[in-house]
Amino acid sequence: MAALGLGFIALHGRPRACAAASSAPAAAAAPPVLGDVTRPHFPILDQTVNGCKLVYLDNAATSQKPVAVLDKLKDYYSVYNSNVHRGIHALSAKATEAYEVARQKVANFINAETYREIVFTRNATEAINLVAFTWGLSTLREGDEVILSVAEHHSNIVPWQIVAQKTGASLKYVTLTEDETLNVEELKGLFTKKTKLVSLHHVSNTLGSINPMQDIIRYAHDHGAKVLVDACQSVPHMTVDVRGLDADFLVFSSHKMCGPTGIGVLYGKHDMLMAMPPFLGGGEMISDVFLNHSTYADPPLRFEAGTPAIAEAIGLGAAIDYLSNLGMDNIHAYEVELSKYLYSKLSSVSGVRIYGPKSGSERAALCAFNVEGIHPTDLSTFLDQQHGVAVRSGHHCTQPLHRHLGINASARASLYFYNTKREVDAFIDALNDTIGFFS
Amino acid sequence: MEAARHFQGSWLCVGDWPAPGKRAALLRVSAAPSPLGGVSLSAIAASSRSAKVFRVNCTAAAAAAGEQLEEEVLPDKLREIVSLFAAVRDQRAAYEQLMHYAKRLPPLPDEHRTDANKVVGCVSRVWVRAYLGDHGKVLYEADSDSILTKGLAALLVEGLSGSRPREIIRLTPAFFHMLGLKQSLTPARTSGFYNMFRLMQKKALEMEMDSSAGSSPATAAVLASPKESDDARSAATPAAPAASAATRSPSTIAESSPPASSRSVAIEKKLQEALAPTVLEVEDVSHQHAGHAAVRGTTGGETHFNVKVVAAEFEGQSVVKRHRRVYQLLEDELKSGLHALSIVAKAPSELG
Repeated sequence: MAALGLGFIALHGRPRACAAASSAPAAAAAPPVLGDVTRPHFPILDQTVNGCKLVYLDNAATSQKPVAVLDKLKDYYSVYNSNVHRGIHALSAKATEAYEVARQKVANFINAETYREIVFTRNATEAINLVAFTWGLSTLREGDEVILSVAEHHSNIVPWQIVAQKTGASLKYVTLTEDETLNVEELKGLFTKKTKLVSLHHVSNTLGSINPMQDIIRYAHDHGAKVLVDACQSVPHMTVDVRGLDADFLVFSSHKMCGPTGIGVLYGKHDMLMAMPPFLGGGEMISDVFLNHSTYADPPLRFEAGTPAIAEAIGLGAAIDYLSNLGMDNIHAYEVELSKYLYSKLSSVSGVRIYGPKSGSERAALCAFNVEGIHPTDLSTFLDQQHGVAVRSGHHCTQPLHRHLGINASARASLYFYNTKREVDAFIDALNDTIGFFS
Repeated sequence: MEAARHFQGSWLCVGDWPAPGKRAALLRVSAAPSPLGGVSLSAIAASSRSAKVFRVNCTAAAAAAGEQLEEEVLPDKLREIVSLFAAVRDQRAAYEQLMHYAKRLPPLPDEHRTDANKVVGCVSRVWVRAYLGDHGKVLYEADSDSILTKGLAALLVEGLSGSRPREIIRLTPAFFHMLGLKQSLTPARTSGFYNMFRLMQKKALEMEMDSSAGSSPATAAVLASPKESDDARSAATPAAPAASAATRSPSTIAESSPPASSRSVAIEKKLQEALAPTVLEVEDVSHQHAGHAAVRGTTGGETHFNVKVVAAEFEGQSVVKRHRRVYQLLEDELKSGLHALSIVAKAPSELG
C-alpha cells in the first residue's frame, strides 16, 4: 500500500480506555451528594454508549426524566386517559382534575397569584410566539421599540422579527460587557419613550451568565415598558418567583426540568392576558360559537385551543413534585458547587477558551467553550465515540451571539442535579485524550 | 449520439421504494444521467436494509425486462481508498486514518472559499473546488474547519481526482457503506459526506457540459430540479425524477433551432398519427424551467413538455413499455433540443 502513496495506518489502534471507567469512585466516607442520591431515579443514565459508560452532559438541551414522572405518564394512559373539560363521566372528571391540578402546581412553583395566569403551550418557543402574535400584534405600532439582546436564543428573536416587520416596530439589541455578560448599563441607555417591551433571557444557555432580572424589570416598568422573561435555563435550576420579579410574561419548557416534551408554560399577569386576543382558534378556547361569530373563553383557556397535551401537563406536574421534593434551593446550591468545579477544571485544560463570565460571579452549571485548533464538532464526535461523553456542538440556537463572539460554533457541557463531580472528571479526562489525539 | 451511448445502462428505479417485495417499475431512459440513477440509489445509502431490497428489486426487474443492470465500477484510486478503510477495524484507527488524509490535503486558498464551492448541510464548513486538468480529467481541491470533515473531503478528493467527468457522474454513493465509517459518523456527518460527494459530481457535470459544444445535456435539467436534497426528501418523490429525467439531449452536436412551426404541434402530430389516442394533451411548460442551466443556449423555449396520452395500444403494456414507445416516436424532437418530457400514458380502461 505504501507504494501507492496512500499511506498506511496500523490496523489496530491502542486499546481504548473509557474516561468514565478510569475516574476513581468517591471515597466511601464522603456523604452522598445530590447527584448520587438522585442517580437511581434516572434509569436512562445507566447505560453504555459506544462501549463506555454514558456521561450525559447536554442538559441545557434537554433533561432526563425520573421514574416518578415516567410512572405518572404511564399511569395516566393506563388508568384515566380521557378528554378534558368536557364530558361528565368518571374518567373525564379525573383527567380534568389532574390536568387542572397540574396547572395549579405550576402556578405554585413559580409563585403566580392564580392558576389563571398559567397558559399551557407546547414549549417555551410557542409561548413566546403566543405573546408576540397576540400581545405584540395588537399592541405594537409603527415606531415602537422592542429591546432584545445579542445573546438571545433564536426563539426569543425570530418571533419578534416577524412581528416587527408586520407592525413597523423596531428591534434593538443589547450587547455584552467585556466580561461577556449582558451589558445592563447599555440596556438602560436603550430605553426611549417608544420602548414597549424588553424580552430577555434570565440565564444564558451559552454564556452561563445570570441576569439581574428584578432590577431590569423595575427599570423597564419605570420607563413604561413590559418585560418578558425567558426562564428556560433558570426555572429548572433555581427558585423563580414571578411576583418577586414582577415579570409581565415568563416562559419555560417542561422538558428541561425533568418533565416530558410537548408542554411548556406561559405565565402572564392576569390583566395582560385578559386584554390579549386569541392565538389559535378552535375548540376549548371558545365560549359560544355561531356561524357568523364566536365568543371566547377567559384566560388561560382562551389560549389553549384544541385538545391539550393532557398527559404531558400531568407529567410536568409530577416533575414539579419531584423537584419540589428535592428542594429547589438544594438543587441550586448543589449546582453552584458543580458549576465552580466544572469551570475550574475546564479552564485549567490548556488551549481551552470558555465563553461568558469568569466563575467569580455566579455562573450556571454549563460551559460553552472552544479548544484552540480543534473544531468543536470533531471534539464532540470523539468525546462521544471514544468515551461516551455527550456534549453539544454547534451554535446552540444562539447564532448572533456566536457571531458577536467571533466564532462559528462551540462545544457545550451542561449539567443538572443528577450529574456528579466524578462525571466532570471523566469529561475532563476524555477531553484531554481528545485534545491529545487531534494535536 | 456520443453522450447517449456513454450513459446507456444507467437505470432509474421508480416506484414504491422501499417496500420490500414490491416490484419497482423500471424506467429505462437511454440517456438518463447517472446522477439521477445516483439519486435513487443514494436513497439506498441512507438505509442499507432497504437498499438491499431496493437494489434486489431493481435487479430483478431489470432481469425480467431482459436487460442487464450494470455493475458499479469505481475509479482505481477510490477503490484503493475504500479497501484501505474497509480494512480498518478499530474506530480510533479509522479516525487516525481520516486525520492522516486531512493532513495531506493542502489548504484551500481564500479566493476559492466561495458560496458556489460551499457544501450545504454540513456540521462544519466545507468547500470543494473543481477544475479541469490535462486530458479532460477533473481535479479537486477541498478544505474544512473540522479535521474529521476535512479527512472525509480528502478521501473524496484523492479518490475522485484524475477521473473523467463521466466516470465521476456515473458513480453512486454505494461505496459509502464499504468505507465502514458509518458507525463512526453521526447521521448529520454522513449526510454531509453525501452532500460533498454530490457537489463534486455536480461540478464534474458542469465541466462535462462546458466541454460539450452547443446544446447542453438534459442532465443539468435533472440536477437543477430539487433532487439534491437529502435522502429523506429524495425518497418521497420517486415519480418526479422519472418525469423530468425522461429526457435527453443526446447530441453533443449543436443542432439548428427547431423549425418555425411549434414543437407542440409536431409532438401532437406524431403521437396522433402513430397511436390514434382517445385523449392527447401536450402542454409546453418550458417557461417553468427557463432558468435551468440546460436551457441556456437553446433558442425559442420549447424544451419541456407535459404529455398526457390515452391509447388503446397501451392496454396491457407496462409503464416502461409505454414510455419507451413515446420516446421512440419523439426521437427527432429529443435530438433537437427537447430536454424533458413528463409523460402520463394510460389505456382507455384505466381512466377513472
